[in-house]
Amino acid sequence: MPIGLGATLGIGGGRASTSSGAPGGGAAPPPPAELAYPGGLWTTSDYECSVQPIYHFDASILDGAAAANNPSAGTAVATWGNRSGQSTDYDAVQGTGVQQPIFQDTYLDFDGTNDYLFVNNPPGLTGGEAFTLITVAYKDGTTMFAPVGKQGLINSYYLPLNYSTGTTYFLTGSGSVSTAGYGPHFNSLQQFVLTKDTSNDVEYFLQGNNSYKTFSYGYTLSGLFGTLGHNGYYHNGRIYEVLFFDSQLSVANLNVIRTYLNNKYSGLPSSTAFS
Amino acid sequence: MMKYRLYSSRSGWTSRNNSLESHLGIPDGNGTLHYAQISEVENSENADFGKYIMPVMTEGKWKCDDQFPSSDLVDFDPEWNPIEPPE
Repeated sequence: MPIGLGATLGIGGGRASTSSGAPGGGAAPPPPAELAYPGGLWTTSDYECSVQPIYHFDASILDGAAAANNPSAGTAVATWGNRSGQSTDYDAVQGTGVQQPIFQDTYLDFDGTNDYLFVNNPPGLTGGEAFTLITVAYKDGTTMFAPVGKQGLINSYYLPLNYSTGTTYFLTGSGSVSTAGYGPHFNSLQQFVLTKDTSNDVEYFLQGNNSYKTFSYGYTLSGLFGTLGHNGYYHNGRIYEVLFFDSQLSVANLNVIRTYLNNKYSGLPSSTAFS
Repeated sequence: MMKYRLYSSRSGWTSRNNSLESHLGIPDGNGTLHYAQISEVENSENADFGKYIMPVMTEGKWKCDDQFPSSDLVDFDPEWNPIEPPE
């Protein structure tokens, strides 16, 4: 559903918040290295964000509930569970076997041929909303990098972030694209942040506060954040973690997540603090 | 990881997909409902124009290349349905 229309910020209403390891579940201390936020798997840790994501896909907790439930490496993934704790179902699913990415302990491997996942109740833009999209991904080879895409269209350019043939692109509402002029970063782990405010100012960041693109974007697009790996421009590579918020995060929250990701993924390049 | 078998008819593709799903135990009760989705070679300049594409997994949970004569399997051809990068 569009993020401006019914993206429920419920506290503790989702499947994830009822799982083992959930807050308030006993004497077990919260894991210091996990990301905590209201309604999530953990509400206290060394990395506390004050805003609950709409969705949070974390490959190290594949079902969105507990790492102990993870399958063995090499398993084809039909469902990547949202761990944000939202009451709305935002799990990502793929019911067709040959299009399922492969679980590899800390990431999902997308083959670049036809792998992608649908997000249930896909968030989109109805106009004027702010958002924040954070992605940790690794691009294999020199073909498509398209970790998040629009649901409902095939072979169209509706990608919040992608790059190919040496250029980074952003979507537009008419099928053309805006060149961000940065990258690509083939065969390397990268931390991307994309923010938009309510006045339609969009900004890309790479490795923290290394801004490399700003522009205005005011289109209305349903299901814009509706696939992991695009359906058409198939993502070739790994997706480790994706967080999506229906607001522009504060500098403090951006830095919490930046340092959480840098602590978690040792292969990430060092990052610069947002300010 | 993937080879392909081309079928001249939609019914041929569908029949094979059904038999593969039976062989692989699909639906599996864990969210996998189908083996593959039908697609067609849409590039009219390609020699295989109009044929139906069956992806054939050669490893992993849905491996089924042993269900085909190896001589029937071909590699992916990016010219079947070329996708232009954004520009």
